[in-house]
Amino acid sequence: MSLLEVENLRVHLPGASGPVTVVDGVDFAVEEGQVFGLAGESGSGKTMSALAVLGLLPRRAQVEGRIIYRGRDLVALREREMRSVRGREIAMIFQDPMTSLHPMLTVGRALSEHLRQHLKLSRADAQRRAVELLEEVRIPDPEGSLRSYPHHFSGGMRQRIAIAVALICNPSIVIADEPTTALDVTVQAGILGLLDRLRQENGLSVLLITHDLGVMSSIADRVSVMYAGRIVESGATAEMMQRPRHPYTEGLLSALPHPEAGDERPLVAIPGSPPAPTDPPPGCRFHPRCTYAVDSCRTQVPQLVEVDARRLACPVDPLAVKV
Amino acid sequence: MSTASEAIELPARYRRLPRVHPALRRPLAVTGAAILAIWVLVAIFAPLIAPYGPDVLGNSLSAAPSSAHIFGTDQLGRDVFSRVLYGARISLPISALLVLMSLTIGSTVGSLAGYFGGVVDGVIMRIVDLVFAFPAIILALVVTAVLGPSLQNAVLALVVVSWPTYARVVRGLVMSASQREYVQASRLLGASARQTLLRDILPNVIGPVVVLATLDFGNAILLLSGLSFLGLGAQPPTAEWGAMVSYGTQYFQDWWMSTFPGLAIFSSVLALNFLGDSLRDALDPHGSWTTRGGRR
Amino acid sequence: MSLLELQDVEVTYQRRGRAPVRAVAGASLTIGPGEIVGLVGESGCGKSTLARAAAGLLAPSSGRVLLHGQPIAALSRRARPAREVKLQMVFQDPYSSLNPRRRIGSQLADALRINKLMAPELQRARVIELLEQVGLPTDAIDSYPHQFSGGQRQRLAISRALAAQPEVLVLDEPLSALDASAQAQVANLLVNLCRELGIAMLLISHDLAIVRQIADRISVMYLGVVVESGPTEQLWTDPKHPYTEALIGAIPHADGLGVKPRALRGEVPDPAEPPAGCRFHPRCERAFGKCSAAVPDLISLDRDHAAACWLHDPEQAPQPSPLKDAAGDSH
Repeated sequence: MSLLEVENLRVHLPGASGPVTVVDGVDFAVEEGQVFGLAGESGSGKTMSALAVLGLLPRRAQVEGRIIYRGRDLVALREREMRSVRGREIAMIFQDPMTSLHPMLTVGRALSEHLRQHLKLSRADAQRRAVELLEEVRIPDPEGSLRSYPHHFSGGMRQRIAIAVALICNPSIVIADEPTTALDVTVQAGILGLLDRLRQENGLSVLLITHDLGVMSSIADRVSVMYAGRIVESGATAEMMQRPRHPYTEGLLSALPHPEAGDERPLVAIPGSPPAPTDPPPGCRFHPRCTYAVDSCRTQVPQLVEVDARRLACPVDPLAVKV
Repeated sequence: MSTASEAIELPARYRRLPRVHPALRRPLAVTGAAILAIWVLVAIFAPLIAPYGPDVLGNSLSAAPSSAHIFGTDQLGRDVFSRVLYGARISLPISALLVLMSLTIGSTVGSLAGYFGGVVDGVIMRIVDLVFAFPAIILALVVTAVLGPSLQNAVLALVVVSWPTYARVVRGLVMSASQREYVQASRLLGASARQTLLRDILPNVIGPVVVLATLDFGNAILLLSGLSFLGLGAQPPTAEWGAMVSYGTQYFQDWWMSTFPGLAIFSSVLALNFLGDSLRDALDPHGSWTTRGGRR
Repeated sequence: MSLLELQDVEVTYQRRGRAPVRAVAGASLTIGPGEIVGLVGESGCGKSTLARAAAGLLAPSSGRVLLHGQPIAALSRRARPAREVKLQMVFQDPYSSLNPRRRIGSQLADALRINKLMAPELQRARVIELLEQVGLPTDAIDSYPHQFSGGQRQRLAISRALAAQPEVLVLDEPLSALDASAQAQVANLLVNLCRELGIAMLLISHDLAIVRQIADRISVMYLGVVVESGPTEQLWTDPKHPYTEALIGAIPHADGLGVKPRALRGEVPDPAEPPAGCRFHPRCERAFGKCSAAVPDLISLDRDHAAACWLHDPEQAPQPSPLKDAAGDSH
């Protein structure tokens, strides 16, 4: 069984004129020691899905469906029970590392306070463990860093420290929401390497959320692509990137620069823009922008079905059309 | 299908009605606007509503509220209810004038400081600091004491103490707005600094200033009444709320003489504060209801 | 002849109570008519400062910016001379570069009105033409900026600049605030505008992969200086500076092969206290004695291709082996 299983997740947020469905029937599973990716553009519902897993959605949000973690349904948990899961079993890293670092506390204090509070360590043990954690995330001079404040560090180093904070309780899953988006590419590569090493050495599972398919391709084992609140395609990353089958996945890949390809590969833009969550089109939500759309796309919501070891929500299946 | 949707659709002229911002539909905002509207109507139609003239004597002296004089009479036998109604004709327009004058002077001076910067800014802001260094009411007292007590001089004194607030706010807004990228883009397109001030900067400054003026309107009513209360503003027999409260306090056991004009001040100031706070929420760009989508 | 030329531009920021920062420490760049030049570098390399100097938004502390061989004066309180209006800029954030309180039509007509390019009654037709040029519906003319998505706003910002009939557009990270599909739309729009209207562009970006798709030539900046410049494909396939090579190696590939991008060791140093010698040497895999001692000049290696690296100094380089050998190192 998977470590984390999300079944038919729906998230409704209050809107000016009635609730707005931002996540509409999403299924995915994170396996032990795997990096599972949720890809999609802004507003596709990927962050909302992750926040739902952690019970961090705004108070007035409504969540439906099941989120099974080690046999427990997180949706049904009370806030107090959720607190024993959040941070301990499932931790989170945000795009802006300052979200999880207090600007007025030294790194040493931030780490050891968490350690003493959550793991009931003695002062000396907490100190020792803090140094170990900083070594783990490859902060140069861990002892010296304990006395520094977050603003003394560069963006990349801060993200490493935020990862160290996330690792305090030795969680089995880390949810990383655009962890490298604010970083330079040369620094991003280091953070991706770190996440990959933690997965291999510590068996950490990662739920990686990013709009960047390049990042996804370099570390995710499996990936689901979201569009306007729904998953349109899921499968093994290599398969998906090399042979996208949903027109949206294909469009997204064609719109990206491909450094590995020759110079004669123009960017092919997807026409139009994503729908507003308040006013999604009927049928397949991508049909107004899809070059393959047929009549049924406009009225019938395509279901995710198994096709050749992946799941696809498109009755047209452009790959089949092309071949 | 089509007929059904047509039936639901409203005629175009209804749909075109400007939508009111949610912050202005809240009970507090509506209450504030309603109270203020009542007072404005009272001020306009006082002669029609008031049972007596403001200065008509000859009723029984110092009479407690009764059916003939619902707010009672003062010790000269004037009907307090009528005087409170007539008071709206003085307190509201004069406070409005006061706000308008402070706003005009303060905004002009503030935009000059924000726009020119450097020495001009330095000099103007030091003057502003100087005014702020005195307690407002004491400075106003000094000015009226020098000019002589009258309603006109009280207004002048209050303009002297209240323009710097506008100057400071407008200066800050002008300075930050002129750093915006759309202002820079406009400059690169060939607009002079003066052109961007009028087209791009001031329109983005007006909103917060209107909020400030609404909140300050209530403050102006209070200050004006305060000066009248101290005998430096409206002089007898003018039916001004502050002066009436002051007058009434001399006859402590005849509570109605000061209570009702006091309530008039209280309700109008409270209404303006409700309205000002709601306007501020409505104009707050962070809570903008019109923004579609959002940043990543 | 070059259309826009930056000659040894330096920009120094004075900081209260602290050492001044040379954000741009002597950068030269030329842009020919109808050419797209990419300026690439990571955060803190001074590329945005250079963009602002190139557009005339700030005055260089030394060096010159020339348009048609004539120096550009930085903005003062006065209106810009008509000649300089041919040099326009597009900003990174399409949410703050349009005035939220003015209708699109009015903002797009700014350049026409201010510079009296045409009679007022013709302006509306021209604005509609401008909207069509950037692929937006013409009824946008009566809308406000908040009614558009990020990609659409960036197109509005571009069309506002087009109204001035620019010869050169300076674009400061015009794509980085956009989603992938909007990014491709705007990138293609820029290339089309360049090819069809012959507008030269200086495209500033942190994203070498997308710049490669758009630019004819690329300059790479590191810590305030240009370390390499050359024709796009040449620079991409045969980078001469180790930093350029590191940048290329760090780009993740969306090809499903699971290849890990390569990180660059160390951190970008404080621009107020740049390392002696070559500014990149503390992070360079191939640094040798000379690198920490002397500043390498940007020397021409092959027609248009130039790099500032001691490895290419025939008398200094310890090993003449091509740079590619060092590429295998990972950490």
